[in-house]
Amino acid sequence: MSEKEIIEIVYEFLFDDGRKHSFSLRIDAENLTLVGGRKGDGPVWTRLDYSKCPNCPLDAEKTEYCPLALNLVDIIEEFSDISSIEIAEIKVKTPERNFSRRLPVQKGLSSILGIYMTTSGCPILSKLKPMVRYHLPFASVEETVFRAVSTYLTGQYFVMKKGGVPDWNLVKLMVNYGEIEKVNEMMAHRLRSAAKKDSSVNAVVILDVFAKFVPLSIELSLKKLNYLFTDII
Amino acid sequence: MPNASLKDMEDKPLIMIVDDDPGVNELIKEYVETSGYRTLCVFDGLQAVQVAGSRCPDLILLDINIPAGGGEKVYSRLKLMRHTTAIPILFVTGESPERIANMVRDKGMSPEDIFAKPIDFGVLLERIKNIFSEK
Repeated sequence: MSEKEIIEIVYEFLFDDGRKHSFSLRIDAENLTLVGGRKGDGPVWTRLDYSKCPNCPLDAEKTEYCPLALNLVDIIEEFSDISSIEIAEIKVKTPERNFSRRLPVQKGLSSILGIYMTTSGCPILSKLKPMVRYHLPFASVEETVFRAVSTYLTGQYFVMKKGGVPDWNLVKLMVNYGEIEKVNEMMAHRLRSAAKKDSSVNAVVILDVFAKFVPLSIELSLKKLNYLFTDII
Repeated sequence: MPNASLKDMEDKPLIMIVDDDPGVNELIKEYVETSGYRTLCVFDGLQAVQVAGSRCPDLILLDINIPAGGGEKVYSRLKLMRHTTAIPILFVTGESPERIANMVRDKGMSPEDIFAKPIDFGVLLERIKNIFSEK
């Protein structure tokens, strides 16, 4: 049996005073699920019934811990005392290329949380899994809206090829992002209990900006992306 | 008539958004402008004091944890300046709103309200509407 293919993404935060934080995320290339995620017990804020998302389909009787919260324990502890606006040199290594930017911690942290959130087994956020394959660190709002819509439309192409009814009008995409906003809100509640400073909550806030912008942009008929296609429309 | 529309635009209240993250700033701007207000976006404490002093916005949405000053200092400076002392300020924060409420009480500040991030825009816009209708 061949070994399964792993996508490894490494984040390094280098602070001016010499502190260094490094995280390696290993993702199963076939099912886009985090490999080696945290198992067993976690702190109280990771329990499923602690600030449970109103749309969470998991049963607290059978699933004691929120799978996403559990995977965030280590990173939240490391960044608990770090302010969101502290500047760091953030280096990211993906299988395809390396990135390096000097940015506020919250920008790098939100990029990492984006990966954890989609690959940890959260039934709501798992819908964003295909975006992880082409992870784009430090993405802008416009880049993220473009990636989210493009990824979704590619998925709808496969729905059509299988004989299903594709959602070319992006109606379900807007619904999905509405559900994601609810998860972001409850995750921010959890992280406020877990961290002393605001870097991790603000990292979720940045992800929530994307979650709010996608439906907002669709409502406005993706007007801000229209300029890209003037040659074909 | 161009003059009439310019006049209409000037009649709309001007809201200054202070947040260091460009995405957060852009999102708030989008919601606030869609609700019929004009906006000014700034990204740190120093800019916030300078721009508020020169443009005198009708309301300020002020993030607490921002570079070059921090929201608390910006608040205090604006309350000391004659032109800006009466501008209503809403705090917006990624930190626990309870902790910020304690800080506000301990330091004798009186913001119009404190909003936790991620922002519930329905609630925020309703609050803004009420502030302007009370004026």
